[in-house]
Amino acid sequence: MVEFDEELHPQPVATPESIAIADEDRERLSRALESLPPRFREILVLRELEGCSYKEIAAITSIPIGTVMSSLSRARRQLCSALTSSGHKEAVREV
Amino acid sequence: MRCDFADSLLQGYFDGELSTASAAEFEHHLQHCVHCPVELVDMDLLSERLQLAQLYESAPASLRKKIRANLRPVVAATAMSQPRLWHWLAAAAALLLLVVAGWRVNSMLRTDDYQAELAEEIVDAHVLSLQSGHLTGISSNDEQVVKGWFKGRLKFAPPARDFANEGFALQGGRLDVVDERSVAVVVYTGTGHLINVFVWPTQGRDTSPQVGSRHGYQWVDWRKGRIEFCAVSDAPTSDLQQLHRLLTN
Repeated sequence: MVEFDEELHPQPVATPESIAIADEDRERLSRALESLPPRFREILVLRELEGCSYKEIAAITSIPIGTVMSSLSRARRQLCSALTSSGHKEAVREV
Repeated sequence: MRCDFADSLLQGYFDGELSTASAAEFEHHLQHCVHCPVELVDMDLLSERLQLAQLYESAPASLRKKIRANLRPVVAATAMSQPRLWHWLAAAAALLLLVVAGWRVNSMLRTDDYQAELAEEIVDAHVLSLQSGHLTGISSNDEQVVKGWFKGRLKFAPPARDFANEGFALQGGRLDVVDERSVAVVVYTGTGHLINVFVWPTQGRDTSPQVGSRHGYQWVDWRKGRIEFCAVSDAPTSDLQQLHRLLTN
């Protein structure tokens, strides 16, 4: 058996800077999610964070599977655009 | 830039929800489309970002396993007999939807953008009803049967009239969700095309019909007597306008 060589495979180290960046990204994501209509937020969270299938989401939210699909599409689009817009605002603030 | 034609398939493909045949069809489309591969990469990055952000504490694996085990038999059951566990999960998901989120209801003004988004959602719902084969909750050409089916399922009574003699035969009805509210859909066939008429209550005044199209589907939207109608089909707009005249007479 070959021993694991930490020098060859260094583990990523959390630095104060990387933690601050992660916190900032989390905050930005939270704000972007918060800006979505509740129904879209619910469906997106069930899919992306809970890993529910469309069938499960349809049953939980009592909406047809077809609507789950179209809502996910719109939710993802709106989230991307909210993140882009908040990214621009952050960049302007930093300047 | 997005490829509108494949938008619905794109989501299903990304989430692994397409049938083998549909996935193969979409993969064929991917070979020629310049937008979809980019969008798939963007969706993957967004998904990864959401999962890495650790937006909330997950329940312990044992608890999640227990909840899922209880959920599975329920998915097979009808939506009408959802046990409390579903509502608990929905409530939990809603709470988890970021502790930060105070529910904010934006009162949406009826702008052109809103109208366009609404029409977009309705056309998507129309297309997806064709794809998923979920056309009718009740299949009947009997006006009273269709009206009776809607009764108790909605807080309003949608008109379900048969115009077979005028070329628009009633096929039945179903429920759908548009703009986060339950709507009735009255299904017709006319001149060889399937027509979905989405119906929901409104506070707005009567309007003359507005027309539009998306992905080769035409829609006509109007309000009358505190009810809004949106007829969608791949039939010519003139057919939908004729159905509008019949429904408003």
